[in-house]
Amino acid sequence: MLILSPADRASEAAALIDAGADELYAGYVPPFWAEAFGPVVSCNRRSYEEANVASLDALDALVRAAALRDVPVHVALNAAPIPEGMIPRMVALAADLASRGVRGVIVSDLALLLALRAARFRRLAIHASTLFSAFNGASVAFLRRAGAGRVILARELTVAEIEALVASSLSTPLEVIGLRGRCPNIEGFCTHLHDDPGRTWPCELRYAKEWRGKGDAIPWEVREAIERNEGVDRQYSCGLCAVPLLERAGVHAFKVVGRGSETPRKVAAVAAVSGMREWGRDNLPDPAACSRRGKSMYREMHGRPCRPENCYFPEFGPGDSEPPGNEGSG
Amino acid sequence: MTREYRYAGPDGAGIAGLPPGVGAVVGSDYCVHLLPGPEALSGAIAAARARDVPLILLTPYFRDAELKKAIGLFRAIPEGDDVLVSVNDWGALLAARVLLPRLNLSIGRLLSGQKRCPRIGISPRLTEAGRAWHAEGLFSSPRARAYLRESFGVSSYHVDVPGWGSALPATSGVEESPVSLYVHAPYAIVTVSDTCPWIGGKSSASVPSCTRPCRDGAIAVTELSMGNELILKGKARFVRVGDALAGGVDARDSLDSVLYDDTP
Repeated sequence: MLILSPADRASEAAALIDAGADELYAGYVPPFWAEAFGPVVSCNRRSYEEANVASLDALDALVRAAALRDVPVHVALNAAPIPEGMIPRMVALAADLASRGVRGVIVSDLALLLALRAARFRRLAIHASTLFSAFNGASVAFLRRAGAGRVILARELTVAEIEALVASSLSTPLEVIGLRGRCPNIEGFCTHLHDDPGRTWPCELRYAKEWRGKGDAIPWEVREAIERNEGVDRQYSCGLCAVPLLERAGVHAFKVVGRGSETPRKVAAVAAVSGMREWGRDNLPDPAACSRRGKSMYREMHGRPCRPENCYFPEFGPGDSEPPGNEGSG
Repeated sequence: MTREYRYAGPDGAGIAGLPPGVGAVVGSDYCVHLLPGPEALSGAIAAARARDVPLILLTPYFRDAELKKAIGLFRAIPEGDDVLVSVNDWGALLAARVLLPRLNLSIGRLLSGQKRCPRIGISPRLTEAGRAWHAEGLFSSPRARAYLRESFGVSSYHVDVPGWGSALPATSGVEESPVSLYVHAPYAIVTVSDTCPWIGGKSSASVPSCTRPCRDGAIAVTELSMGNELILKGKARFVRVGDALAGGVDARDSLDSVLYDDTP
């Protein structure tokens, strides 16, 4: 299983690859897009400049730095919708990216996916973004038929569900997002505007609440479940426990979230996934052992126990509880 | 508007109370536990047939096991009845087209691509073109529409009234056949979670069935920077919008309204 790391500039490529990244992905907003839609609507869903390579020259430098270590770079073009007038320009951009050595583009708009398929690029893979909300094997088939060479699954699936999808997805490589950036909402169905320059998003806010229904007040267990997800910092989200099992299931790539974050944070995240992957290869652990190891690594990384609201794979029993299953190796 | 539809509850219990000539809507865009069972769906279809009105079945996203069950539900739709299935899952679209090609399929609100966050209306950082971009969707993309029509027989789309006052984008394109738009109001879907506060914040997939406690009420949530209150019900958050559509839709298009008396 490959580890896919965010990268925002050439200078951090070596450290990320040293930490264990097998592939890098970046954002780039072409001038024609920014001129058309302004500073907030990004063609890769990250409007702040730290999350995008500054120019095509900077992208060239990143691709070269990665190529020195035989590591491919992919570029996110995953805004949706892409208006019809923009499609030919985005396809031309993809061709330009391919000529510069970019090996894949990540897309979430059906029209752009179809246009890229029609362009028949020989050296540019097309990745269907998690924004297509692929929860089932038929969705993977739909995306394969529309031109996707790799499908990034919805973030809410369990390891068992992912394992079944790998088995049914024929030759389509599947990618799983599993560290940092977990959102309480299904990303492909969320239409919140992420425009705050301070990067506090609508899903992270604390809201005042008013009950409108039977009885006098919000049922306490409902309120508690809502408030558990408020004020959550998404950089602490984690799916380390699942790494060895996802690799054994045949997942093609494991993506670390975090375009726009500081290099040391990216490096630490990649190193943690890499460490978990290596430990899994050496020990062939069962789920209970994975859970113990993942929680221990989380505590080392963040100086606190993991929490349910930050957990990508709740079946491992986040927090201090033990997951179901027997005690195993490791 | 060529026809009015009204939401009659997940199982269609409200069909009997609908005004004459008004189409019925059942099911859910966002939760598998708010789908009718095959028996309830058959009853809803029969009730709509008796009133000589069409029926729309809203469907959510599905995991594999849920999709298998949903195909069983789709089989309960008799050939020849005026039933439109609103699909919010690409896999469901493919599976239904392959296994049940007789079904009349449409693209649901979660797949239509519109953005509905109330913040779009008040953000000082958005340009007007940037604001207008948020109202675009699959229905305004000739390329996507052509593919969905040719490969899946889809020519209708469910959309929301853009809450910040924009017009729906024009749907003109290369097709000869018109696009059918079903405009839902007054509750536009802003976001959907996989977890439901009404079942303790667990994934809806983690419970085999649900007693639907979310039907007992909704929660209005407010935060100053959002520009409008959101209404949380089940796994979805809605914003209340007007039911008046601004111009901008191609004159050839069919435009129906889907109205809700309460948060769906």
